[in-house]
Amino acid sequence: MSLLQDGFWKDYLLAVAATILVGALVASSAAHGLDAALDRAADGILGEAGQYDLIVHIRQDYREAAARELPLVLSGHYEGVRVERAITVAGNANFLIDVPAEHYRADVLESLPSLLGQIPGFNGYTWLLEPSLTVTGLRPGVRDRLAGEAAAVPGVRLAVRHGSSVTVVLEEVQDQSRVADALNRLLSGRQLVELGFPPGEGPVDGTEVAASVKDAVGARFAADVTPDGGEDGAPAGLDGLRRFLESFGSRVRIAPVPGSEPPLVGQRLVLQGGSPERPVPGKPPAADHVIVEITHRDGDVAVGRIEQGDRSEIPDTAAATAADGSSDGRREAMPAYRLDQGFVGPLAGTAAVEEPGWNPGDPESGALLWHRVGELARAAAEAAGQVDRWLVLVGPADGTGAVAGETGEATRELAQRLVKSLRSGDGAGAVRETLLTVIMAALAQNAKPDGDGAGSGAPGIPEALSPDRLAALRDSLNRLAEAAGQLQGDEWQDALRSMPEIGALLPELRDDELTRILQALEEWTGAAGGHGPRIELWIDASVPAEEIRRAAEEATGRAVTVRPSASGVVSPSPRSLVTGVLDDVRRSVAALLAFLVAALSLILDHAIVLAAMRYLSVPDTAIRPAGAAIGALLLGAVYGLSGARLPFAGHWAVLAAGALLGLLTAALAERLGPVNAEEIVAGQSLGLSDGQIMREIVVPAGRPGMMVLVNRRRRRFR
Amino acid sequence: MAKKTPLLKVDGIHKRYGDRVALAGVSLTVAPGETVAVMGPSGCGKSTLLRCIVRLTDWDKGEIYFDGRPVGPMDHGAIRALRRQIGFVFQHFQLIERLSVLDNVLLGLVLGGMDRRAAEKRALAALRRVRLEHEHSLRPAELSGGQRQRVAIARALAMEPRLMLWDEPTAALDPVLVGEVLDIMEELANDRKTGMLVVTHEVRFARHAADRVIILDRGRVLEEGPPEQVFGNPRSYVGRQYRRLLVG
Repeated sequence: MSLLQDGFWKDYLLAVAATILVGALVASSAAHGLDAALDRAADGILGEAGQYDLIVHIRQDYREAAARELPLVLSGHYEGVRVERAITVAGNANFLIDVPAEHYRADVLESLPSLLGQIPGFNGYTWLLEPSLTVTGLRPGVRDRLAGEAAAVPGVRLAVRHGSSVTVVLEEVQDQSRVADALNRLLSGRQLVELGFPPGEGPVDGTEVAASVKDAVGARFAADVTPDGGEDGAPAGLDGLRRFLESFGSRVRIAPVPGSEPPLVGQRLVLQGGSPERPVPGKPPAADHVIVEITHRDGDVAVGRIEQGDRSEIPDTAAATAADGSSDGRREAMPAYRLDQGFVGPLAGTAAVEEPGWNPGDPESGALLWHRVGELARAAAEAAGQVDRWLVLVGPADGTGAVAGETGEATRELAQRLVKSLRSGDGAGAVRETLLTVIMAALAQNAKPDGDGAGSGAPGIPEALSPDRLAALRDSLNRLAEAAGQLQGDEWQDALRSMPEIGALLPELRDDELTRILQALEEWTGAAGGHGPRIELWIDASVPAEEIRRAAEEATGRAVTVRPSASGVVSPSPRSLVTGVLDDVRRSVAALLAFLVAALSLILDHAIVLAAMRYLSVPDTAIRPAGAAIGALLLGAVYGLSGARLPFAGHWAVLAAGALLGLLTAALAERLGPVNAEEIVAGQSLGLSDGQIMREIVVPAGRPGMMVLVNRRRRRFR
Repeated sequence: MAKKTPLLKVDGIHKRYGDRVALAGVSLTVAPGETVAVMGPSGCGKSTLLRCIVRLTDWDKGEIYFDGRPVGPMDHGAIRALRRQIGFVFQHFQLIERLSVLDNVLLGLVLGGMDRRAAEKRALAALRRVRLEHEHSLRPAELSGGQRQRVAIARALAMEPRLMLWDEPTAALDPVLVGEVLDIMEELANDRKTGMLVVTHEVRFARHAADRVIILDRGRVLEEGPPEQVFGNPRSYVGRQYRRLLVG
C-alpha cells in the first residue's frame, strides 16, 4: 500500500504510539489525582496508613466526654497511647488510637477493646492494624488456634484475636499476598466439624474424640476446638455462670400422676403457690400462681424451675416435703397442672420444691463451677466499673433521680452492644461483660410492658435493677472479685465451702428473675432445648464427614450427628477494603478517560486519515476494518497501560468496544474529518505518492491532534 | 514519411459507472507537440477520458498507451512517473488552499525529488510565463478565478510535461477572465513543445489553436478531423451545433 511509503506510515505509527503513551499517562494521572484526593478524604476518616491502630466510635453527643476520658483510660493502662480526634460520621464521633511500639503486642491490642467499654457513649470500634489481613467467620476454638499458627507464618508480625476474627498484622505490605496464600492454604486445608451427641449420656471429652478420629481416618491434622474446652471462651464463661446461678435457684420436682408419663422437657406447669385460688382447668393462670418450666428428667420425675413467682410463695409444707424429694405423707403435695396455650390444663402430677443451696459434693456444681469463678471474679472487677457507669445513666444511688426514657434508651443501646459482643465471641471482652449481661438480661425481661417486675418508685425501672440494688450488686461483685483474686493453690477447697457465703453476696433475686436470667443465658449459650454435648473438631478438609461420623461413633459408642463447615475467610483490612474501593474508582475513572482519549484520537487524528483513504489507493473494503483495528489498538493499549478496569468488562470486551468506536469513526469519517477531495486529486495528478499527499495535503488540513503534531516534523511545505 | 509513434494513444476505451455508459470504445491519438480539442455536450465522457489517461479513474476495457507504453498494467510507481510527464489542468483549478502560489507550483517539483533551489527557479519561470511572478507569495484565496487558473497552468507547466490535459479550463471562469487563460493556452499550443489534449467548449480556441478536433457524444467519437473540416462540414448533429456557435 503506497500509503505506507515515504515514511508516512512510520509517523502514523509514531503518532498512534504517542497517543497511546500520552493517553495512558493522562488517564492514569487524572485517575491517580482523583485517587489521591479520595485517599486524603479516606485518611481523614481512617488516618494515614499505619499511623493509627484503632478507630473508636463514640456517640456524637458524648464526643467531648469521650475526648476527655479516652486518653485517661488508655494511657492509664498503656503509657504513650495517643488519641486523635477524627471526623464525625453518621452520628458517630471517631477517635484514632495509636499504640506506641513498646506496647505493640497481641495481648495489649486484644485488651484495648475491653478498656473502651468504660468510655461514655462508646459505640464500637474498628481495627486499623496495617498492613494486615483479617480472617473472619472463625469459631472461638479455631480462632485461638489459628492466631497461634498465623503468628508463626513468615512475614507475620503478630496476630490479634477479636470477635470471631483474627487480624494478622504483617511485617511488610509486600507480604500480603504471600501470607494470604499461606492462610488460605491453611484454612482451605481444614474443615470445622461440629459433632452432636444425644442428650443425657454425660459429657464427651473432645480431646480424646479428636485423637481417636485422627487415628481412625488417618488425618494429618485434627484438633478439638470446642469452645467449652477453652479456658477463656465466652460460651464457657457464660455456661459456667449459668450453672453457677442455677445452683442458687429453686428446683421443683414433679411426680407424675400414677400411670401417666412425666411432663416433657419444655412444658409449663401451674401451681397454686401462695394464691388463695387453686388453678382451674380451662382458665388462664392467675398472676399469683406459680409457673414451672420443666428443664430435665430425673428418672420418672420431671424437674423444673420457677418461671413465675418465687419459692417463698409456696407454703412451707410443700417446701418441707420437697427436701428429700418425696412427700412426708402428713400433708398433700401441691398439685401441678399442665399449661396449654396460656390456659390451665389437666393435672400432671404433684410438685415438691427443693430449697436452693450449695452442694460441695456435687462435682457439677462444685469444683467445676469454682474453676470458673476465678475468671468470672476477675471479670467482675471490670464489670463493676460498667455498673458504675450504668448507675450514672439510671440515676443517683438514692434511687430518686432516674429518668425512665433516658434509662430505657441507654439500656437498649447497652444491651444491643453487649449482645453483639457476646455473640461475636470476643473472648476476654465477652467474659468481662458477662456479669453485666446478667443484669441486662434481667432488665430486658423486666422492662417488657407485660412484665411483672416490681417497681422501685421510678416508673419503668424494675426493683431488681434499681440503683440501690445495682449498687449492692456492684459491691458484691467487687468482693467476689477480691475473694477470687486472693485464691491460691488448694485454697479452692476452702473457697468451695464458702460458696454459700458467696452466694449470699448476690442480690436477692426472686426465682422467676433468676429463671429469666438463666433463660437469657441459655439462649446465648445454646444450652436450652435439651441439646446433648457438642464438640467441634478442626480437621483435614479432605476427610469426608461420613468417615468422621463413623470414627466418632466408634470412639464414643454414641450416635453422632456431623455438621461440617468452612474454617474461615481471609479478607483484607478495612483500609485495604477502602483502598480497594478507591482503586476500583481510580481504575473506572482511568477506563472512562481511556475511552475519551481513544474517541478524541479517533476523531481528531484518524477520522481524516480514514476519510482520505477513500481517495487513495486503499481498497474501500479495507477502510472499515482498518478503523476497527486502530480503534481496538488505541482503546486496548490506553486502557491496559493506564491500569484501567471496569467491572464486568474483560479485555476482549474492551477491545471489542475499541473496534466498535473505530468502526463508527470509519463509517462517519467524512463527517468527523472532512477532506478536500479536489486537493487530493491535484496531488495525485502531480505524481505525489499517497504518503506525500497525506503528509503535505491531508493531515496539515486536519484538526489539531497528535497526528498533526508528529507530521509537522517531516512536512516539506509549511 | 514514416509515421511517428503517437505520444498518446487511446484504444477502444470503455468505462461504465453502474448502468451509465461514460465511454463506449473511444479511440484517439495525440502526437508530440500536437493540440487536440475534444468537444461534446456535458456528460458525454470527456472528463472521464482525461482521468483515465492519468489513471485517476480505471477503465473497464481497452488500453491507453503513453509514449508507446500501455498505462493499464502500470504499478503505483510507474503511474506516479507517468503523471509527472502529463500536466493536468482542472476546471476548478484544484489548488492547495493553505499553500502559497509558489508552493503550489513547487509542490510537484520538490516532492518529485528536485532540488529546492532549482525547483524555485523553474517554478518562478513558470509563473512568469503565466504572468504571475509577482503574486507568488499570495494564497489562492487572494487571487481572481483567472489568476488561480493560471497558477494551475503554471503548476502543470513547471513539471515540463510532454503532454498536457486540459479539462474545460475556462468553464468555471467569469467570461471576462476567460481570455487571459485562452491566450496562454494558445501560446502553449503555438510553441508546439507539448502535446495538448484539450476538453473545451471554446469553439474559437479549437478552430484557431487545435490541430485536430474530436466530437464526442454518449461516450463515442462522432467525428474527428482538422478544425476546418469538422467546423466547415460537420457530419454530426453535435458538430453542426458547434459550427452554428462559430458562425453566430
